[in-house]
Amino acid sequence: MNTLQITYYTILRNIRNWKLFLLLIGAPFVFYLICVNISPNVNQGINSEKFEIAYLDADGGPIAQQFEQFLQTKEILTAFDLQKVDSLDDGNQLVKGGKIEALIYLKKDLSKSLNQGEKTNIEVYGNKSISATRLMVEDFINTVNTASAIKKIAGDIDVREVSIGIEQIAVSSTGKTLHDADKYPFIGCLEMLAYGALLGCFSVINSIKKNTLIRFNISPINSFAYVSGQFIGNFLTLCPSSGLFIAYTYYVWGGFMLGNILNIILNFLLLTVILTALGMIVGYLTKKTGISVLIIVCLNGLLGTAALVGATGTASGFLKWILFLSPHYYTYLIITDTIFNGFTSRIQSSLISLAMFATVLTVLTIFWGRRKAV
Amino acid sequence: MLVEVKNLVKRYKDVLAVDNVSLSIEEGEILGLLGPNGAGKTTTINAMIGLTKPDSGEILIFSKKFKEHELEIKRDLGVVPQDIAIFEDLTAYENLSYFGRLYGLKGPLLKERVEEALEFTGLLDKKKQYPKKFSNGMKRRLNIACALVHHPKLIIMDEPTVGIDPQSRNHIIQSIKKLTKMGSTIIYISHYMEEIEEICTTIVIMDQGRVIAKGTKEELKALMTSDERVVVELSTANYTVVDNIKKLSGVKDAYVNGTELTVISQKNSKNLNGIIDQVSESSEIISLNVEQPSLETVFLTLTGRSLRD
Repeated sequence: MNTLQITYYTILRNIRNWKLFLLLIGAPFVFYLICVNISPNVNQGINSEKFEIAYLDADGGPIAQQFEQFLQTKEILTAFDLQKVDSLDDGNQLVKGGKIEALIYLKKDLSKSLNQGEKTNIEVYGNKSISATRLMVEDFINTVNTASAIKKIAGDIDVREVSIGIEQIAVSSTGKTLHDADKYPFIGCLEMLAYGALLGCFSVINSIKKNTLIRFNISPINSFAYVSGQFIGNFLTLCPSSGLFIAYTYYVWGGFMLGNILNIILNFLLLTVILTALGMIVGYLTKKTGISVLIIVCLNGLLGTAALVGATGTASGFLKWILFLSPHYYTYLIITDTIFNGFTSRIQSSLISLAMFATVLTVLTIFWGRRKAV
Repeated sequence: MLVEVKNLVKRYKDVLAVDNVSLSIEEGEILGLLGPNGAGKTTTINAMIGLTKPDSGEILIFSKKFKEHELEIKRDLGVVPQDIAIFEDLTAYENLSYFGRLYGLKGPLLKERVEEALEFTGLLDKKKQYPKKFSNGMKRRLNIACALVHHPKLIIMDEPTVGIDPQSRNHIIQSIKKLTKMGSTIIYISHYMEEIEEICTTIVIMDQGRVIAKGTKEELKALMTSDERVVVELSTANYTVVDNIKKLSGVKDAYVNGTELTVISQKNSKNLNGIIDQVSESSEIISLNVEQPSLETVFLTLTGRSLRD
């Protein structure tokens, strides 16, 4: 009961703090409105942009024939411009020269090896945007696996990067993709949403600075009730902002929606939990407004940048590692895959990652929140 | 016994904040806790209300061990923190309603108690206003109301009148007097000697983490009755007279501060005429005052420093 009361008053106070409320809810809303006007225009005509790829068949066996048939399907032809090359050197030259984006190499005795039950691989040589090709090859492998033609090939695509850039581009069966130019406002909107972490942070710091925390410490309620009430209150205050983002994605790309919008809603619920918890943890640890704002802005910038370079396929080094910790990136994957691909294993793994983050951060929030005011 | 603190010790790294403090408070008693900054008053209180974990010692409130019955004890405690602890973005009524609910009040009883606390602190007509528009004195009164809304058995007030105008201070003092008449038990911490003298039935003086004296104000003043203090205001500063005065019978000490001469003598020394004779030889006497020991004197003598040091 106490938790609900604390939740109610936390929401009431958050709303009455209208400057902060406007900053955290209103500003993203304006940003979404701006992006709504930009994104659909950019998104038009995506279908006309096909991926230029080549393939080299050094095998000539039944698997190679199956692959060639697969390449001639309507879905593949909608998204890819294909050409055949005669040697690996020729193909690599095309990749290096930027004339094609990837080269698929079916090496000699691929069919024979598979026939004998040996594990083998299909090599993909890429310049920058190998993800689309990779997805296509994965799709082929899955098809072959389903037909039980081969047993152990799944997951063994050997990607040889000619340059370090790898572009993550979702390719749907309808051929519609999210254009690069749309990724910038999309990640920008996510970053705006992520500034919501400041709400939890300010809520914690205010209760310490304005001495109200002491009132709860001396009240006959346990600290868990207080922290969870404050947490839920901040979470619910941030939810409208997430709701606006869901509306934004639905409005902009809803027409392409292949997956279940519940995945997107679940994603935003988890993301809002993460943002609330993260903000409160920073507040508990620093207890100072200035330094907390600095930490949240820098952290948001770092995670957002990682997501952006991950989305555009230019992540490398440190940022490649940060990608694993970026809720922004997981959100990007879940939303784009849900819209353009329906359901992919990436949605599943990203949701699990977000759920793990949310759990860990919530536990830490409750742990640190139980500290006394004195 | 409503409160019993036995051999309380609290150490912060190398600093011994509370050194073996023992206190007891009877029901209906108003206990004043006096001491300079860093004397250990607030740490003692914080240990009593569970904000600080003591290193050793035992705290019994309402004859129950605090550790084992924390929530039960807190239900009957009303604490007025030293710093104002109210939500500025909730109205006065909402503040009291919020804190009242935390103590299990609801429905018509909550409404009644909130109105009562507002009326008691003179804020009923401001109940719909936000505290950010309040004066410091009004905020202090709301701070007190928040501690009273649930009718606690024991009220702890930590410097409730700091930094406010005399009018608000007077209002608060009168409110506390009303509470005492209603039979409340109060622990009152203050720097203001006159407040303690006016309100409290028992006074505890703390210094450097220890209790150095305890008793009624009469008992404490009696500690000082072995000395008499005569203060003479002179027309001009006269330092030469001090040596002669020190030779008078019963005089323990004499000193001049500007044009003011202070003479401390043993009780019943009957040397007032001698002092007047000595002084009037060289200066004109403007005024003469034989001072009774005040709580300030008691404090100064016991701790060796002024309360506001």
